[in-house]
Amino acid sequence: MSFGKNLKEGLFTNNPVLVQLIGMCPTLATTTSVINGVGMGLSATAVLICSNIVISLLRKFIPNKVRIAAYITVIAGFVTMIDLLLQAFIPSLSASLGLFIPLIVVNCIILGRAEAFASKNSVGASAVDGLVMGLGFTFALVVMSVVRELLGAGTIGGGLITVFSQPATIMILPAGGFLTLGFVIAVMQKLLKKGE
Amino acid sequence: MAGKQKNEFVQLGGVLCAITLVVALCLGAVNAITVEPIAKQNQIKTENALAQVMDADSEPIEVAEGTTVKTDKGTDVEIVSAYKMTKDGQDAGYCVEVAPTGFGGGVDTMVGISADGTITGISIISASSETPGLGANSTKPEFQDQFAGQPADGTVAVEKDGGSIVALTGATITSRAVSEGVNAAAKFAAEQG
Repeated sequence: MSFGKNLKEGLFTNNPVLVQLIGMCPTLATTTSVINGVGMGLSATAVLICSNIVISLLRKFIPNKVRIAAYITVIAGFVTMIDLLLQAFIPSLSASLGLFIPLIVVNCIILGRAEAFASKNSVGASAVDGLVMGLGFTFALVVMSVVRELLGAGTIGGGLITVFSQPATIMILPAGGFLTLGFVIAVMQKLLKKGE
Repeated sequence: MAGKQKNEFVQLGGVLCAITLVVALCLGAVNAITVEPIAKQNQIKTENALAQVMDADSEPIEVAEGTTVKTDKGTDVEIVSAYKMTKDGQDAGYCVEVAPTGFGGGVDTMVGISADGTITGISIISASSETPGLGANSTKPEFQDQFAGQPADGTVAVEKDGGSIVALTGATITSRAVSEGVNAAAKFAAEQG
């Protein structure tokens, strides 16, 4: 399969959030501003690529019966490393994502791809899968956060430009997250149906 | 059969143990690299916060871990650190770092209290456990600037509670927590003499 086709699958036809409907927790929690959404998406992508590569390398070594425990250990290791590196070298991003970074451990996209793809495919293919799925996740987060930030805080780009001053605060609250997610998935389904 | 099963357990445990060991070693290595920059970042944060609330020289006061102060309203507030401030050899008051409990956890706040008993300013170091877009807005200057000039006698409160602090939209709990944090800091400073 060519990379372009892979990319299309990760971003659209098999998007982890909007089509596979996994990784809902970080999707709802971190999309309150575009900066948070992008930061979360890229951090998760980095973890996903690393964990996919390592799990693919170890796929013959890890016994089937303890595979989930082994995957979680590897993923938690990478997440903690990224958390420490962010705190040390990009403190501003670490301050705004703070609580959400450790949550990447339980992001089901990462465990899901380890189980469904990396444990059965070659290292190269797993790395590509990690990249495209990560980008798909980031894409979904960006779409969600643009809508929620614009409507809920009245700004674009993490408070760079103020569009209006009387925003509908509910959109950056959890309820607004569910509303946005529902509408974005609906639009996605419509577009995918059209494309068939 | 029993022997075979035992062997399997040993093998499974061995593999898991090996993976955990390797991951732990990697984590140790990363921690060794990052421990210093992180400590430096935290120190810069504290220094910035001190400079923001009071223009004076600081000297840390020892605060036992887990020290709390009960405010007049009965809220327990944790004291994180405290500094004796001097300017040109004159007593300038205290800076106290408090962590009042907000909506999702401690709101790390530096409070400056002048020698004559007014709040010189506050700086919220971290509000990352508060709701993004609501309580997390407490780090904005529009909110923090209100505290400068308030009396350091334990009466700082949001408008809803009869004070003069305009609470953040949709984040009364965070606003209240910061107000109580300021009161606790004032009380702690008063106890120091």
